Amino acid sequence: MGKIIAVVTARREEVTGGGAPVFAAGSPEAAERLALELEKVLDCAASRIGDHHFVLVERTPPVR
Amino acid sequence: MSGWEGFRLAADRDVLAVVLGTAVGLIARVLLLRSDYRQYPAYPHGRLIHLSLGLIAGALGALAVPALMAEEYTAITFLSLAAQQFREVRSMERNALRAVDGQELVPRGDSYIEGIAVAFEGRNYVVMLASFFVSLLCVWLGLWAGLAAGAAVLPATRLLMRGRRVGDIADISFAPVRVDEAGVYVGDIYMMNVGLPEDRELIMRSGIGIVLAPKNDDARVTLAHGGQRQAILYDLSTRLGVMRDEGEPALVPLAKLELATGRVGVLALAREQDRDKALDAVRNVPLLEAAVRHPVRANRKGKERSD
Repeated sequence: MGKIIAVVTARREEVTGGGAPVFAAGSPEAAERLALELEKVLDCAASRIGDHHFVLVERTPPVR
Repeated sequence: MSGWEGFRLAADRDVLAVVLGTAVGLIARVLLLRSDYRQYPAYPHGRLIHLSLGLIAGALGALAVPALMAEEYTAITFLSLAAQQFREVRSMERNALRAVDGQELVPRGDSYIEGIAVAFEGRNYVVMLASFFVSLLCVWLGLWAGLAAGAAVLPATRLLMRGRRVGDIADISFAPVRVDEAGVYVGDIYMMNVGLPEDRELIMRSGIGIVLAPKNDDARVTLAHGGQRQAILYDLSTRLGVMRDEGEPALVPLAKLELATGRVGVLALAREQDRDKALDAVRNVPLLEAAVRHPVRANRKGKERSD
């Protein structure tokens, strides 16, 4: 199961709740850049959710 | 009596049988000890260990025949001692491989390791049987019969230990890697969500997509096994090189099941973009003992039939 480590969004109002830190970006391009940087820092894959959000997901080791 | 005379007296059929049997056993072990693309055992010490154990296995198998002929039935208990030793070989292999597996960019996975460990144990028994057989014929019919048995047994051991491969149970073909929005597909099998355009570009550029279609219902179950799929990824990555580093989870090679059909989509980021090598690599992945099931045979009493 994946675990959401961070959320990057260009539309702050569409993201609620807690559990993971939310990074708000001014534009979709800025969100993409943020997600790239966070991917490298967190060693987590960035997945795109809808058009304006990214989640950085930590995966448990794959099935062996 | 001079030493030479003693040697000549001793050089009767029994001694010949033991020497010949042991030699054939050792040769069989050398033939079975392949350092191929999986690079194991590539280490000089690993080889030394396995050759020594092969020599011991051969000697034990060969000694059993003259011992039986001399009505030394207790000598047979040595064989059980050997079995004990070879079981240790299995756990030695398992521990060694598991210890390094965590540092592989694409791990072998526990099922593959277990398969390798079992093979290493099994080879020693094959060696023992081969030398027993050769020694038996040598004592029974003479040196030439022993030599002939050795010549027949050596190719047979290779054949016996070959095992089946993925190519035997699945049709393997290429499929284009494509990106739809954030989804990455191999053919029409959904693989994963890749959020960043940079990663998607890299996947489009160096991704190799392969689809494995199971040939029957048994094969479907085997291909669905997670360990078998990890073994495919490991072998493919080893043969073609892998475009990946620690902490790049977006670039991890994947094997996903298409639930409706049981087909498996494989996506690997390869350094070498050679299609023939890729197909060959997947075709030659050994079928893991842990993954092989025969539900069709088990259900045959009922109405179910293989398609």
